[in-house]
Amino acid sequence: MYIAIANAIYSSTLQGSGGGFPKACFGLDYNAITSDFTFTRNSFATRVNEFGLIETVTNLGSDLVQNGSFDELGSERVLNGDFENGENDWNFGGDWTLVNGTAEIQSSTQSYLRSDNDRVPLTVKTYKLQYEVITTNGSNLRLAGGSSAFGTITLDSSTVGVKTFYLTSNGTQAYLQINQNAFRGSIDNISLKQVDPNDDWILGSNWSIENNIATADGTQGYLTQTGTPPIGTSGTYKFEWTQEITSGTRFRIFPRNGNDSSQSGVTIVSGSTTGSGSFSTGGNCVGSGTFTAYIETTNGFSVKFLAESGNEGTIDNVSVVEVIEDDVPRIDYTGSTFDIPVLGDELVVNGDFATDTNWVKQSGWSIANGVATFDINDYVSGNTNIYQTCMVVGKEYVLTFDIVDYVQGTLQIASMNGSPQWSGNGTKTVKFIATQTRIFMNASVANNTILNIDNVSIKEVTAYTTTDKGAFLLEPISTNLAIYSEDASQGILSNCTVQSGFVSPSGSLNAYKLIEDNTNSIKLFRAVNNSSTTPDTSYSSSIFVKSDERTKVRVYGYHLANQYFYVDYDLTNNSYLNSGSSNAQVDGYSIEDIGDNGWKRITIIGQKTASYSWDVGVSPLNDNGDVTYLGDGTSGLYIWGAQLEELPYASSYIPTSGTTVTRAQESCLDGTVVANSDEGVLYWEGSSPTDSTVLISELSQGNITNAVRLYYQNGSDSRGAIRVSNVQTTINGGGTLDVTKKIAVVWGNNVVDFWVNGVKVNTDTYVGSIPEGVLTALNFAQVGGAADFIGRTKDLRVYCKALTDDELTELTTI
Amino acid sequence: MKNILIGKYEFNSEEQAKDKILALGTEIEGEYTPDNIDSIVELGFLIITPGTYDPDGHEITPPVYSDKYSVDVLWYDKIKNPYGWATYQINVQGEGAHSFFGVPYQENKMP
Repeated sequence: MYIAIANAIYSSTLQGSGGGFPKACFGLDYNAITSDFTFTRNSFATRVNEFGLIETVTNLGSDLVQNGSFDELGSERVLNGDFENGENDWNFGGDWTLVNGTAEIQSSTQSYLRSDNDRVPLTVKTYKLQYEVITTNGSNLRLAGGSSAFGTITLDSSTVGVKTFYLTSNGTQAYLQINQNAFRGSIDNISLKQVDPNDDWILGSNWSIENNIATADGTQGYLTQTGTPPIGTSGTYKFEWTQEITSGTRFRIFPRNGNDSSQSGVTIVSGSTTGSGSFSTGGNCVGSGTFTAYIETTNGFSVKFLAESGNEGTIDNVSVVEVIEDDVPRIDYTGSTFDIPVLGDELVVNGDFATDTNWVKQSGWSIANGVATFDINDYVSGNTNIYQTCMVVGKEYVLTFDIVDYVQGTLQIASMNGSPQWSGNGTKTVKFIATQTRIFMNASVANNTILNIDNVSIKEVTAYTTTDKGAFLLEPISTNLAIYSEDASQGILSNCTVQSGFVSPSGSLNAYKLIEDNTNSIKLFRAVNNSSTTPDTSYSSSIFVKSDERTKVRVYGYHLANQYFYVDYDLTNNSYLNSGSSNAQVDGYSIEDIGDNGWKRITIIGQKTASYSWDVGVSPLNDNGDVTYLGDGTSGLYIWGAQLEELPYASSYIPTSGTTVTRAQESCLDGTVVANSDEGVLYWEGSSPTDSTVLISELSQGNITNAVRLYYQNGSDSRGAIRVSNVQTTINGGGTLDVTKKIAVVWGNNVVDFWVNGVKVNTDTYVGSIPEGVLTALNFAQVGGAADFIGRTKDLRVYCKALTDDELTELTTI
Repeated sequence: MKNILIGKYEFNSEEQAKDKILALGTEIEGEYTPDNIDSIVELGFLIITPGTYDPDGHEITPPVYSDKYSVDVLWYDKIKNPYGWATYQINVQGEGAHSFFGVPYQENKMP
């Protein structure tokens, strides 16, 4: 889960950074928010996840699909497959003999080796057959004979090693019966297991399950699993799978009920893909990738894929999980730097050179004693690579390997641009974009190279993540009034067009490119808002944009040609260019990076003394920053995720698809802590965008009589306060929380201090004392739930003693 | 799962809607807090017919608004409409003009 990942980074901070630093008696633990507090949000919400992608946050149930990874195998059908018990359970027919625990045949007489005592059921099923060829004359075995459960099938025995075959039983015969054919040699470790042993999947004639995937052969038919969930079940379900189209364009899914008898009561609500295709709620799933669909049903659901004629490919990792609960706290990574590569599986085979296999060795290379050696003295002519095929051109990889027993010369990679030239012993690492499918490790002839290499590893960079711990995000209720936030084709277009199919900030191929026409004009896209807005109230108009040929952009709150407010930005460096309005007022603007792939979220905030229905507008600008210019008919930039809110800032993204959509208010209350009434510290790190008064954190006795508070007054000044017997002593001067600050209120000996970013802002005295043992209620709000905190919390701690000035300096220095 | 229900309402005027909403709540420390309500969304006077505009953004025909003031409510732990609300409740196809993120109206409709 994402929270666990975030907290693994975070949890080490609770003790403070220095050795011997006092231990906090409470520290915010991202993993324990729902147990330490009552967290509430009765709707979905989105966040920027630890990979810089915008995702919907929900709580999901267990997987309802059986054998969704197509890797389940039945019990072993072959008894004594390793011949440990001699010839027991086998019929060594003809010239088959038992030799050193293997089944061997060395003559040409027609003979059968038959597994006798655990017969194959007389049903048509798929089985996985494995056997090991110990010795061979280079010819193939076969399954054959009138009693063969699989008819006549040629089996590979031309080389030694473990062999795997997927076979379909004929349903009429019951024996695994091996015929020597032209094979002369020995075999061992024979295994036969049914694929999909519980018959979880219903396979059309065009589908098969082999090698842990379901494969469609290009003819038409269905792959089905019913009861995911059963008929009569209601709810929202997340349906996910991975598909690879190898020929044709698509697979299709259907909104089928729990026993696959009807589509009544079942709806495909939405969906997306991370791959190079597209998803439509009509069920067309184009291209390869991981697909996600949200299903609403009142009568169960059945997974049902259709491979139409002419479409070949595979399906894997099928899951359906119920969307159980919306109250999932969000750890949000907006503003984080995503520069830590996430690596996929190992792609190199025999990277430790345990055997002289899998690598192609050109002149001068040899493999022996667990290393690959290049010796200039063995070089004859031609290229000097050792290589194997394991990459896809254009993808990013990390290569690591060791140079050992280095004598002289250099090594480089001929599968990338600008390879380093390595020399000397040690572990070498490089991240690169593959220019070849083969990893060419190239030794220099000119430098008379003599060296060994070992432990070669190549892994694909599948994503980038961050070392930032993120922030616990709490937001108010907000409604996105732009009714088609992602479908730009529903927008109003002036002197421009939109083209679909580009990777968006969510990782799906659902962004659009806004393409200018070739007239001298303003090119304007508007995401439509059909709601009339409140006069004299700030609205934020935000949208995600990414540069292409056009690198400068204007974002508007737009009503009519003479009623709008706007901001201009240069997307190459996030620099502000201009802002303004026509018959409206600009209240603010911002730009922020989203993830690591060039997307920015631009927000313009404005208002008007009349009720206008502000649309979210976007205009590309030319290189001079002009909004009116002569277009070339092809240039443009990318757009996604329009949002129009009645807030003086942009809150987290709320997707819409035909209606306005509301994200519910979040609250985080009812934390319990045993604090020291006589002295202590309430410490917080974070930021807040609000212009309202909010309680950042309040430590109280469960009512307003006695409390210690950190709060934000009218969005302009953060403050610390202590309240004793209904008399509050407040220290002002913390300033705004637009950017992250570390603040602390310290009390003890009738003195209260307020610290901000390593500085004691002010100090005061207070009268009386808080009764012992009453400071037990901790809330991100005023007790009772008023003035809920809105913003991002990176840390919250309660110390049960007043820290020293040195300790507070260390704790609060930003 | 918590007991969440969605109600959609059309009031005769904005004033009537705001009075109904205020009557639901209590006051804590000067902060108005509605009872048993997670979210109230005042949709206002919905556009029945969108306006039309020329390519340069000039209005050709103005939008036509409903004369009813629309409000959507996400009720929390409530099994029926509060007194005086049922009269103004409406039923719509699908999600209507507004939805709560991830909370389907048809599955969570106030009876």
